[in-house]
Amino acid sequence: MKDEDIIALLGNEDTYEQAFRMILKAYKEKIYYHVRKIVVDHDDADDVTQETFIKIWRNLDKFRGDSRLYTWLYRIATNEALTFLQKKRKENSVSIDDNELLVASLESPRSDAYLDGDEIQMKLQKALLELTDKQRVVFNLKYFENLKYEEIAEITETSVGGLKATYHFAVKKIEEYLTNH
Amino acid sequence: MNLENSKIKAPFTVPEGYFPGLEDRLLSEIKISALSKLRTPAVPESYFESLEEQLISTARLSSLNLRASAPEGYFDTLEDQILGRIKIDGLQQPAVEEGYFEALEDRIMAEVRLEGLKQPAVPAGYFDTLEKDILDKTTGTQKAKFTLFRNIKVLRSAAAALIIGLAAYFSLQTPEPKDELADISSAAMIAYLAEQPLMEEDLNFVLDENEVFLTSEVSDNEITAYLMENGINI
Repeated sequence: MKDEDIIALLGNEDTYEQAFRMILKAYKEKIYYHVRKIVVDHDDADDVTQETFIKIWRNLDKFRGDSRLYTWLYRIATNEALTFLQKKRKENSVSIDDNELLVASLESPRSDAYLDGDEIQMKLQKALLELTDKQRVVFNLKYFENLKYEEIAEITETSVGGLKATYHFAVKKIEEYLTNH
Repeated sequence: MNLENSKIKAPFTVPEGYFPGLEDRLLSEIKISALSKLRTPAVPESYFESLEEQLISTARLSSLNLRASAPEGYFDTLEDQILGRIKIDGLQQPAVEEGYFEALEDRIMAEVRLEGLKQPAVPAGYFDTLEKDILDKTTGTQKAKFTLFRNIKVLRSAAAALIIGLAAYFSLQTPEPKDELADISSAAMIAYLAEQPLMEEDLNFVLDENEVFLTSEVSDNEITAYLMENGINI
């Protein structure tokens, strides 16, 4: 199934639902894992994933094809995840750039059930929580999803130059963390 | 360690059967949200035009219902109760001497005249020109002068910044300082500052300004290294 097929269905209001079902089938796992890497906790990721798809459904008629379908989907998911985090921090009276809650989620026994990584994988996740939200999003999309800077620029609505610098600093910071811990 | 050469995966997993369930749950939720969109209640034509009248009629009816729900015999005794209370209120009013109210007006007027005498006298025609005088002072050229002296703190900070900036400039042995920034204004500012000792906040302001001046020649690489060393995100 290609994005072009889905976009073709979006051209007709009668086939919106069919298009949405195809999007859901093709992207649910990708969107979930993208969100999960941002919010860390499975239940939070579940909530945000659902909100993301509901938002996608409600805004399907606004997709004009100016950007690629998957970058549009990832953009909605990223915004939902970051908004969720900000709200969660506010509710818990934590500073907006503090990842204390995410570290707690990663280390909680409840999370253990849905974590299956070796030592280095866990260490990398902890290192990622040393970064800001934006740095983590950029790192995740580049490192784990292998997206190009141009694609990440569409998702994060920032310049390619800025993204390269952000990714560079993120990698340096993570390498430093992994070396020292 | 070189992170980019070692592809480390994310350790996240999901409960068994999560994704098939997720798809079903999402489709159900979306159907519900679509239904709620469709459920916008339809109303008969010109419903809202007649709604206000209907509501008023309903309110009238309900007030009638309230009246009907009064205890038996209530209205028979109500008049007596009200009259009784009025009589009690009348008794509670303080008694006044006979002819008190007739004399009251005269006494008040006499007091007002006395108060009038107590007011300070003003020159003849004072109030005729007062408005013009005030307007001249507030809208005339004196305003700018007034504002300048009210912003004395800014003036002091600017003066201090200029002096320390010049000192830094000379200490870095920058060739040929510009003549227009030299002695005249500094001397005036030094004299002024001797009278007005600097506060800590003024020095902070000056140092911030100076730091910008001193770092203006640092290369991009040095700034990048500095940011990295200090963990400042870009």
